[in-house]
Amino acid sequence: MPSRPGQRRSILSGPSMPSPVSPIFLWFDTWEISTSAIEYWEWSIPNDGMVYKLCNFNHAMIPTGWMISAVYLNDEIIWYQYEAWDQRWSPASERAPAFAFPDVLKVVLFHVYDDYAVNHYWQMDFWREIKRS
Amino acid sequence: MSRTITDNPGGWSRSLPGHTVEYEPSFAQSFYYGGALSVAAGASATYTLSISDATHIFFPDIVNVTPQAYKEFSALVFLNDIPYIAVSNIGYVIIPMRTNPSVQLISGDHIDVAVINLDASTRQFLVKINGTKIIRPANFGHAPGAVFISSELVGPAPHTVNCIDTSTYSPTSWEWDFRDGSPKEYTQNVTHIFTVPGVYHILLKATNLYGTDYYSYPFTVT
Repeated sequence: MPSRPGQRRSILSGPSMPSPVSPIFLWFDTWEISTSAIEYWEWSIPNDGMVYKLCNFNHAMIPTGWMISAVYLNDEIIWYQYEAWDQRWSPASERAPAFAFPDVLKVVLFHVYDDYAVNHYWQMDFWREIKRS
Repeated sequence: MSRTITDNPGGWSRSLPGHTVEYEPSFAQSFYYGGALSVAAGASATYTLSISDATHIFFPDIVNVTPQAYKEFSALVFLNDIPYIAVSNIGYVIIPMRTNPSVQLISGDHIDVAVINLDASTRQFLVKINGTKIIRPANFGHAPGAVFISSELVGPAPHTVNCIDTSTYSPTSWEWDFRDGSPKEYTQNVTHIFTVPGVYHILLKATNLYGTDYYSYPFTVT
């Protein structure tokens, strides 16, 4: 198809670019709680020669309310939010934090109500690329 | 449920692994699908978009859920029945999908948007999905999602492990690396004996016509 007049025409060569591996890779869990508490989940990045790039972390509470969540990488905090309704961290693909073996990710949730029974839901979505040494 | 499609020749292209794509406005088209849901109090309803167009690859950019009243609700998005995101809010939600380059929908795939009405009355919700689509190369499809299961994760030497391939998108070849110096194996499911104590990250490489994926899991031999 012809380009529009004045439209810059260029070629993107696939193999020179990061190659997403489908399908998407995810890590998630739910937490049913009715009193104030802290819970955490840990995940060691697999030793599979892949780089895991985070494209989404979200934390929702049903019913909704105020929530606190934090994400740690190798015991250092890399994301934190205290906010009502839903919490989302969706870094642009070119700014996505990347993880590889032997990194350890940790998700920490805080339930701040003493008399409010809810179901917390959190999820991380990744895409993966073959690691280039 | 009614759906409308609006094609916009002024769209933009995407990169694909292993393919050369021309970056020009006429190459890609935007798409828009939408529908309305009537959801009873405390109940849920689902909007499903099934891809039947075999000639394009669909990249969802935004999922938008808007209640027709400023009331509390939750929304869950599934891609081929895999949970992708869950949100709760009051006014509306705009869910970015473009942050994940692996979200590529082709013929046979589907995206579900489940809406849970947390209000005390029946409410209407608008669900909108938009994004871009590009012409699907003849040899483009889903690469496998490599994964295996085993129940023998820990044990004393000599430790026998059975690994069962549960990879998605139908691999046609498999390569198992036990990482203990033994030869690789190439059957779909394997049995292996570790004779020396240690932690071994068994690595599965699964391949089909469209690509390759890797998966590993640690086994502890005491």
